[in-house]
Amino acid sequence: MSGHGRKIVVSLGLCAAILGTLASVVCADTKSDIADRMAKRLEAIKKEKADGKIGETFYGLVDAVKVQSLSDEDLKKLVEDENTDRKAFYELGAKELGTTPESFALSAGRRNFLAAKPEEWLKLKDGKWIQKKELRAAKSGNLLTGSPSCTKA
Amino acid sequence: MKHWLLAAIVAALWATHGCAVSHDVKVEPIEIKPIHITMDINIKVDREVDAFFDEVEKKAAQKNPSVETQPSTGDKR
Repeated sequence: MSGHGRKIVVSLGLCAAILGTLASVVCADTKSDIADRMAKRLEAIKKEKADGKIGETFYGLVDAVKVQSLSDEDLKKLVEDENTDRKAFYELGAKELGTTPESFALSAGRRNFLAAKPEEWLKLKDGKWIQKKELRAAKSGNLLTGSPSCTKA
Repeated sequence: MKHWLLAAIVAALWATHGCAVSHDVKVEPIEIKPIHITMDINIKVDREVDAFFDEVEKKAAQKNPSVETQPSTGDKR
């Protein structure tokens, strides 16, 4: 390859790299974008929670109460999309405050446990499911670490 | 007589010195800065999380007024 040709290839490579970087910056999700998407599916999330199919987890995500429920492709996609957006928010927030996504996830877990309705299912730290109303103590500390009095398969 | 007086004074001074007790107590400075920083970060994280989920609820309510909004838990924590 001639010197001139090599220069062209290098220039094109540089342009592609710059464009790629710009595209990633421009296309990066903002918190508002994530909130928009989550708002669109909030009604469906609430319905599945009310039906006892999904619930909030200790780690700030949603999950299917019964694994078999995930054979429903729509429900599986709903859970996956919700968790993808939540994780994106935890990453973004952590970058902004100079902390870890885990601290955001745990904070969200606490927040959503407290906001849960009595009939909704919660996945505790040990992975066991419990209905909020079944919790012996409503205090946040016990709510997050207390052992469940009943579990659902 | 003077010798006795001098001896008494010296003895008194010596005894006083012997009785004097001095305590050199050094108190190590208590470092509380890191705790403050950790608490500050945790509070900021909680606020960010509350604000974000409240925003999601608000946007959902605007898009679909039938969606029931959950109360913020910000003050409860």
